[in-house]
Amino acid sequence: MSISTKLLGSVLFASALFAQSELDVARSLKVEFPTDAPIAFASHDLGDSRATPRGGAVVVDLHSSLMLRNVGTQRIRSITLLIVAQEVTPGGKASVSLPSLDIATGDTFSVRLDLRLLRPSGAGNAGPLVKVTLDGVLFDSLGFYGPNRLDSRRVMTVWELEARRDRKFFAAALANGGIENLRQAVVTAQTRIDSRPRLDVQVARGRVTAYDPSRSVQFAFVKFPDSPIESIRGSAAVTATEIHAPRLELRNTSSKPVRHVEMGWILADSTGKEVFASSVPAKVNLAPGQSGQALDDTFLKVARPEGRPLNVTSMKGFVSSVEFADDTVWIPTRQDLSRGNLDSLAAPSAEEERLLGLYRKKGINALVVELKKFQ
Amino acid sequence: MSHPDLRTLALLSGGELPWWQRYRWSFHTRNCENCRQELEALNESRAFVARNTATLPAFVDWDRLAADMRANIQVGLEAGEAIRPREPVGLRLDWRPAFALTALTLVVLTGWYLNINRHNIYRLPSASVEAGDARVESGSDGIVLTRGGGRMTVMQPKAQAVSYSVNSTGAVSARTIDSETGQVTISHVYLD
Repeated sequence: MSISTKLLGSVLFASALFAQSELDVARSLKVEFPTDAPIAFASHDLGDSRATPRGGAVVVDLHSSLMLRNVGTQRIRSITLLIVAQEVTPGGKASVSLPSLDIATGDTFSVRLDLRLLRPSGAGNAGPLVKVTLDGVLFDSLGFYGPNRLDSRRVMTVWELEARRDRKFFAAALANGGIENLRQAVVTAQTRIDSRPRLDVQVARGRVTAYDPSRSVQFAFVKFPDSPIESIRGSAAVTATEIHAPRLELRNTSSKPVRHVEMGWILADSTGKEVFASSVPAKVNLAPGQSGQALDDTFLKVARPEGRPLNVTSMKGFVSSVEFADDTVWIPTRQDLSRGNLDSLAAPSAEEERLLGLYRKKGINALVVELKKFQ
Repeated sequence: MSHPDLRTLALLSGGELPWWQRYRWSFHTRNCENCRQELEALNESRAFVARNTATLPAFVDWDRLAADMRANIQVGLEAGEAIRPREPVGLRLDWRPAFALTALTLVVLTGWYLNINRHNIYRLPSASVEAGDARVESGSDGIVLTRGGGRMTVMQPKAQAVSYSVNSTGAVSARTIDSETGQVTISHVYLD
């Protein structure tokens, strides 16, 4: 074999390897929407996606921008995409959601997906590594479309109600005191968010362990006047480093059956400093007037960001959302949250963060325009 | 007849003229009375100086004087060393390497600043959930799910602020706001 033939063979082999690598990346992502969905998948590009061998594994970097179009008849407020990488992490799944949208019929919008997958080299490559499907779409009527495998309907409805509540709050500030009053409300909200204390939180589920001697700490509940759920009592076992197995006794005080309650969980140390730790979603089936228990096998390990353990001496709980059997949702008002100082502890809504970001970037006039758009 | 000037006679007296001038003016002074007297006067003056400088005065102790001078010189040198600005030993850079080093430092600092990620400076509170051999946790790139030897990371944009949270059902969430469009994106990674 001549040298030129060997050289040509090497070039062809390298080209084939390169093509194979490109082919793998292109085949790694599959986007599949139902044909009757109100959103159509228009196109996607894989940008600088690539597959890189690393030892005995392959790292696949997927950077994709999905172009979607509203082909329904209603304005879209939020969507959730389900991401499954069955071959890489069996059973594991992820989602990407866009709340606070306002997509009219016929409009297009993009969703950014940035994923990194690490899988053993020997694993098969029969199908795409990642499948992206639609889990839900929420409309401005609060109607919903989708398989709802991730409970997206409830979650997106909560986001939308929080968005409406917070837009209404800032719009009222504008209406009652003009631009300067709105500016003051924005600055106050930003200051509150910036000073919110944070924790490192590790959650372990279903763990059976010989833990340290514990003591039972009772929940103190922040009660809201119009809450459809009354928190009767609750406790959790607290050790030097962990909090586990919270138990809550709840009563449905509304006239409608309740199927889901989400509680906010606040911890306090011996100095009385409070910090939001986690939310505790609980599936319940409570008929009007009925009481029931929400149990959780969760172990919660918390520490301050600088690494110091939090010596928990007391706990506080509040109802952050309630889903009724008819798919409607209740959330607390801003007055409810400020009454218990909860707005300084719990995370702000996505919409409040968006509006504050708009003010920071474009100024008060842009915020005024945005608020008026939704009135 | 020409006569030597006083400077030439002084040099002749000291034996410092070139040989042909020495021969010429020596012959002249032997035959010229005035020049010979001038030369003898100069010779006597040289002899006087030589006699009076051959020995030091009795009150002068040369050894002590030399010791004092050496000590004063040493003290002066040490004082000068103490007040002189110190130069780094072994780092005598001229302006070119110094300029190159400064430029390189600026490039590195600029690159670091442009690629800065807030949670690399102000570490964000972490969030994690685990059950069995599966684990979901917030990391520097985003939310990482590790299970069965595989790993999936839902990455978060580097240039945007990220806030992580966790709920007790086994999900870690990340919320980002696009700095350009203002669009909020919420990512969840679930254990099951």
